Amino acid sequence: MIRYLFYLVLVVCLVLLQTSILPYLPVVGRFYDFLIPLIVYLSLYKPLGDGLPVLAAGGLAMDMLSGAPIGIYMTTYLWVFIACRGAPRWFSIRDHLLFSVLVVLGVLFQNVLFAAAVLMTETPRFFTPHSLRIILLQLFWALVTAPFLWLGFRYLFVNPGRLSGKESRNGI
Amino acid sequence: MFSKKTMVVTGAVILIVLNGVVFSFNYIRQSSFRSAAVETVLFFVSPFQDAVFHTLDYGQDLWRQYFALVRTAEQNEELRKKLDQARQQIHEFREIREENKRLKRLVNFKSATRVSMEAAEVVAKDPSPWYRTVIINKGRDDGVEKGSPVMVPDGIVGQVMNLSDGYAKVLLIIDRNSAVDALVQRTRARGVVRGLSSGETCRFEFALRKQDIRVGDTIITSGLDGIYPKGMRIGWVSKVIRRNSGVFQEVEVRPNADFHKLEEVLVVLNSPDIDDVLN
Repeated sequence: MIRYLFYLVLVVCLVLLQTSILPYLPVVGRFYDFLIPLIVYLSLYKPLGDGLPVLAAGGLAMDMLSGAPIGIYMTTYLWVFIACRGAPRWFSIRDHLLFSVLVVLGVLFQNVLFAAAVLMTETPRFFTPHSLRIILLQLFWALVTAPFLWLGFRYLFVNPGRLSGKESRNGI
Repeated sequence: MFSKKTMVVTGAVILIVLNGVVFSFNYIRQSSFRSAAVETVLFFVSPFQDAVFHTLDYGQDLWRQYFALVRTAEQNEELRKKLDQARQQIHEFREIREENKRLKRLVNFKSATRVSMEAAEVVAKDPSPWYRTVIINKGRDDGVEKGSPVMVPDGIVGQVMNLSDGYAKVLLIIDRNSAVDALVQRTRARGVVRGLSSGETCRFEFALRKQDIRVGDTIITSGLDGIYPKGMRIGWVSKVIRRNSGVFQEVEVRPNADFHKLEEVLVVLNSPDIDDVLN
């Protein structure tokens, strides 16, 4: 139970970070979706029972808070989760390298999905210099921050039982 | 050679004699021997005295300075804290002054317009870079409804698309899903202002080629969409492209509202009913 509470707090923190903090920092510009690294991490290293509730809660929160078509975040997370689940079979690299590659691919996939959603419903061109700049910036940030996030998640998920003051038996 | 007793006695006698000699100096005035003796003693002893004195003095100074330094460091730290507090206060005062200015403008604007409004604060922005919405801290409990227009004194901002009891999600006019029925103030040419989500501009669509629209023209709401009250400023024309062919001209509109600095907004509570507008 405490494990799911921990995941919930983490998801809420990440959502708050990208809705109430990062958009107000002009230096970082438009950051990528921080829930993607979390989904990638859970998909790679954690059981289904851990990843799916996070995916559902995160997707729901983001879909509800964003002006994007409802369900687009959930869809992104679901496909990223499924793809990453099978990724270790296809990639020979492991750990933070695999994680970084998958995060970048996840961010790219999310942007492709958004582009598809926009192109299906709207007449304006999606791939303007402005939007391409945003995509490249997001990929750049994903590439730069992914190894640090991997370390952060590893630290957090090694034994979150310590947060509650008792050791977790399965160590999540 | 001598017994212990003899040596003690001899030493005692010498000391007594020496003492007598020394005492006798007090009675021998202007004695050169006395001067020489004092000088000799001073010569040999004073350097050590001096050294000891200075060492002690230095030690004392060091001790004093150490404490003074510690005190100074503490004072320094204290003063730094006070300076930081003062800086923070100045920052807060500036922030309050700016907020005051903004709120005054809002209040003036609110009292100048006939519609009923509720001030709200922007608490979050859209997590996606492709869509432009904000969350405000006023909701159903404050009289906000779905579709309520949101504005700032400079112009309209958007409309409420979803809401809860205490919060509302506002679709900004620069979002690609937004459309506002609008007029060119000078010529009354009609069109629809649509968001682009790329940068901070909108497009004034369906403006006929023959209509006179110039850069700098003000775009206002027509009120015909049943959402925004008539005559509210939207923005100004920043670019006009009239192609040789085609029915419409391409008009780019720059909104008056600064979406980067959106902090406080006004929600229009009694937005016009479409039937009222048409009648």
